[in-house]
Amino acid sequence: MMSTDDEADRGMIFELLLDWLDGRLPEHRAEALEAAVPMAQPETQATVQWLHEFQVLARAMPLYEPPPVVGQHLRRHFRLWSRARAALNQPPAELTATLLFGSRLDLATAGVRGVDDQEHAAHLAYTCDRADLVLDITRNSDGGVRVDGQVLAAEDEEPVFEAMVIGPRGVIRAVDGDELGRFCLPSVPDDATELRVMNGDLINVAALDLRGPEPVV
Amino acid sequence: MISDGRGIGTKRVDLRAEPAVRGRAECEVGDEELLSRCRDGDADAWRVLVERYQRLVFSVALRNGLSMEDAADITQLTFMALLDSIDQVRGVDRLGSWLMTVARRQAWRLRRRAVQEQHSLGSVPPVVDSVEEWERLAWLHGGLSQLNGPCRDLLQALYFDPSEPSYAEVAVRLGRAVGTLGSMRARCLARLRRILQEEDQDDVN
Repeated sequence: MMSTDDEADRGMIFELLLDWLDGRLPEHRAEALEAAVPMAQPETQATVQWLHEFQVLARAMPLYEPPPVVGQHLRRHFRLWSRARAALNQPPAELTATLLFGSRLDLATAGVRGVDDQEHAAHLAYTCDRADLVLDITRNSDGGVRVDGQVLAAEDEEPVFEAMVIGPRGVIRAVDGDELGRFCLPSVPDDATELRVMNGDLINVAALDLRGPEPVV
Repeated sequence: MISDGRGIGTKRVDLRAEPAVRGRAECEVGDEELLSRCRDGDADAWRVLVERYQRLVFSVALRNGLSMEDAADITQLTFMALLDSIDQVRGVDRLGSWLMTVARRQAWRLRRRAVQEQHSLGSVPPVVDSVEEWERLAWLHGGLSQLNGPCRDLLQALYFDPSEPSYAEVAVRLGRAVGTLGSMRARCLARLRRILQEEDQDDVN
């Protein structure tokens, strides 16, 4: 086992050899050391060889500072990455949308004849904390309805939504929307009760009532 | 695992400490802990990690003959690759050499694409390292990444900074007395040598 004195001696020799190789010794001491090293213990020679290799490798690849914009971009990328990662680990928020406007109801209340005058379309607008939802509903000749919709989400929401219509027996239709949040369900039976639009982070649930003698027209 | 004994389970240093002490505190935090905090979304840990290794990654790209702009892009791509793989790099005890390898591969890919599309990249021809030379460089930087922060910062300032700062400049930069640098440098190099010798021994075993 090596004594503390031995370790201290080795430390001093190591530092002396390093000072020599770094060119930090006075000339006369450097010359004396240069003459002594070839006759030194193998351990000392191995130390000199290791230090020399370290210096050669260090000089072989100096480390340059990248432009500051690199760090800036990487900090921004990390923010996006960590937000996406956090979202992946969380179930989407399910929010119930409130009906803000229904053309059939509002026109009737105002004493206007109704949506018959508007090319057999009804217009519905819903809202919740994180997105608005607008729907145009048109009666098809087969008795079903066509639903054209658009989700108007907050700026930081993913804009592409999947739209799903639910009826008494479960999911009736599901379609993917486009990058503007628009979607189209060409034929929906009039017993549909609910429309769900979802983008992975958010599920927006809107109640539907498409039935009646003249459900939406 | 990190061999400097400051890995998971040891006292965590607050990276958001007062600016006056932040510089010292940041360099005390080991790579493994920084990676762990990055996985938890800690932006300060990410900033420290990037500041610690961006010069190495950027220099690898430059060494492979890329312009400053392309080397900057490769630096970003390399760190983005680290984020993509952050759950797989658990237990990486030589993050420096991991990043070097990724940066070199990205630089090659860019050069190959440039050749295919017949456009010039940088004005500097790439340094062609032999397998052995490259392995020695990666070996050295892998060892450096296992040193504690103060030692790594000191050795990088004294031996890897292309501006070759004086001891006085390094002392100011690191907030240390100039008279302590010489012996600290020797202790840090001796520690680096032990780390690398242990690795060589592990490779032999």
